[in-house]
Amino acid sequence: MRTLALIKKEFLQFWRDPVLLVVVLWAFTFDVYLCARGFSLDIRGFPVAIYDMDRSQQSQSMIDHLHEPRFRQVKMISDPDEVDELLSTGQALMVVVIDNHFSRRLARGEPAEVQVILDGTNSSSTAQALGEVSAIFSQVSFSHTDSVNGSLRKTHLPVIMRSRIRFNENMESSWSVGLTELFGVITMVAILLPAAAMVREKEYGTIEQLLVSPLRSWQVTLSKIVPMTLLVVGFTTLSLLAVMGAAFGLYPKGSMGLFLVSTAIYVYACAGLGMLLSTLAKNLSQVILMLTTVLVPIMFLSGTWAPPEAMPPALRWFTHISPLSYYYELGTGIFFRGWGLKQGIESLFWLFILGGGMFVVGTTRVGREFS
Amino acid sequence: MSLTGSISTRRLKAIIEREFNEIIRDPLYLTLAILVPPVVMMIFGFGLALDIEHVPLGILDQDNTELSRAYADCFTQSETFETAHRYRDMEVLDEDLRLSRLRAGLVIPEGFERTVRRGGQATVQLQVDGTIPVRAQIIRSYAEAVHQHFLEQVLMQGRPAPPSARVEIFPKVWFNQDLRSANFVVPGLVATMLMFYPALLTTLSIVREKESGSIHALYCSPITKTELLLGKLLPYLGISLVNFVAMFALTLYLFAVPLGGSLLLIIVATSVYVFSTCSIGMLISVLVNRQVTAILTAVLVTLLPSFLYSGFFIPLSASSWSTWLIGRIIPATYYLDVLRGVLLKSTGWRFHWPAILTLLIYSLVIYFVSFKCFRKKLG
Repeated sequence: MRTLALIKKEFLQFWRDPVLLVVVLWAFTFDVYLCARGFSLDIRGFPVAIYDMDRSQQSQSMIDHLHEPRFRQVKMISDPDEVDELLSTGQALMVVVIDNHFSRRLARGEPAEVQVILDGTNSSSTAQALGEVSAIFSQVSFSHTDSVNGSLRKTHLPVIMRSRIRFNENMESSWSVGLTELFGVITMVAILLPAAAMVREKEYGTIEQLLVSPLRSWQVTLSKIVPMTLLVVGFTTLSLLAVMGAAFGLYPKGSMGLFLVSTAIYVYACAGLGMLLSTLAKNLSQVILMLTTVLVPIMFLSGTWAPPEAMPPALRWFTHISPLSYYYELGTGIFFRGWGLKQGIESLFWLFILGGGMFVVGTTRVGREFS
Repeated sequence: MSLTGSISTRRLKAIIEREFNEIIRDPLYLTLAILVPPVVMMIFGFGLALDIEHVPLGILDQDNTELSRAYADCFTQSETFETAHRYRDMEVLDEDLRLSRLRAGLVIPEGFERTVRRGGQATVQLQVDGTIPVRAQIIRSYAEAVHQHFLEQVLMQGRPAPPSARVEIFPKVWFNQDLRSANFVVPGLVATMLMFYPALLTTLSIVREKESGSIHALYCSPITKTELLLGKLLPYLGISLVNFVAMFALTLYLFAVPLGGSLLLIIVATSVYVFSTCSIGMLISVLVNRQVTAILTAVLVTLLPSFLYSGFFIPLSASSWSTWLIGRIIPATYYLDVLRGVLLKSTGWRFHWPAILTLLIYSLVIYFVSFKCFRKKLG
């Protein structure tokens, strides 16, 4: 009964602070949307400048292959000094230089040279652009030689490999990125809110009032966590339906009920960690700095950013004690691989054990502060 | 009160001193504020450099002949794949993919050797877990490389090489010749961390006093708004610059990013940039009334945009127009341009003064908005 009254008080506190509620809602919706939409590792309209000394039909037809969506021709230059200026200012990220023997060499059947100068500052997109341009030019030259010789050059390969992408057949990167961001938001909110609530009581000194009240420590902690769990689970559902579902077309292939249950368990695990931090800190400034230090390794060790198998063995071991790694497995399992209880039971078990452990540690620490 | 508010150096000094004392008397906070940003940057720096390795691959060899085993061996011997698992049953392989025990599965069909020996064409199937498309793409291209290797080494021995492409491409990479990933990741991290932490630290400064009520003492004092806002901001600007020194040292010495251009230029750009990101924090602090709200808002406004929309991973000039537009309103975009330019391209003032000027105007605008929004009033 007393616990219920306290839960009601915490609920009221949420409702009476609409600004906080709006910010949390923003984290679950707009932030996830921006992330899923904005994360792209594919180049698009890569700015290219052309320095064509040959000015022949052949060189022109080759240049014509550098077009949207991958490339965008920004300038034709006729002076080698311009190359430096264009690349230094970033107006172009790649310059294609065709020397004046290009068409003559091709006509003679000699290999013709094309020089590609790239800005290597952003190495991953540079490597991608180089790969694309090599593929385009070699195709062009193949089709060119084919038409010259008039014979089919396609060599007969004895073995071919067909690859089939599973679980996310169209390779929608927004799906995994959006889901990862959502997990990040859940983690942050579920650690921060209970920690802030506890520290607030400390900063205000209202914790003394709770201390002398007939409430037990677990009742206090529970009352702080129950409303937050409902809030997070509710917002998660909203985020999945309105953002991931409606905007990006990701719907669970497996059991949504299982996902919500694991979310609730995961929120408890995070809340435990938040409680633990609140006992270590005196004020919210300390909490937030500790939180960022804790959050980054948690995200890393979950395998959400880097695959666990790529980590050094010592780090890899830690992924087994990170609740997020189990939650992440369950999440991707349910959304991509069609997991139900049968497939997810093992991860759920470990999530429960670890999450429960964290929750118990956190609340006992708070309890000790009480006595 | 004038539009900008008057400034008395004495009172400004007093505010700064007070804020500083508050920070210094909380040694845990001070230690955290100085240590956490470089440490987080270090974890990121090592973490983002991880490559795709030891990919767990399952092999189902339905043919089980000399040639099919040779094919499978090409995968077992490759560095990229870890093939602890051999399967006999398609369903078991499928189930393990589903349970995410495997990232890829390779199926060699029955009659593989027979078809090849007869001069036919055998098809091998590779199944790749597409949950994270970027990884799936890399895994697929690695597998194709191994496949190519098999064709060249095992099957095509003694046969004439296929005709070479007639157009030869000579790539030449400037500014980062070896395409070293640390050279582009680490400056990005410095920009991101310096957008996030200064905003986060500054954002608590005023809202903390609002929450505890001690702000009323300031309301009825002769302190002007400018003095208060500036006095609250400067200590955090100082801490953030200390953070910058640590992070920049890590950049040069731990991650071995070369410094090509002028250090002075970097210092000037960083000071202006950090001023702008502190102002963002200040604006949030002025607008909201609770610390938690301020923290969450600061995280949302700074962290994700600076990671995804500043040109960190893909240059803005090579992304969609909407990304470009969002990128243009984030200070990190301008700073990252300067930082990468000076470090890697050795470009000087001539190239970078517009970005620094933009950042300066940006800071002044944000500062002015906070000034306008901050009501010095009772109750």
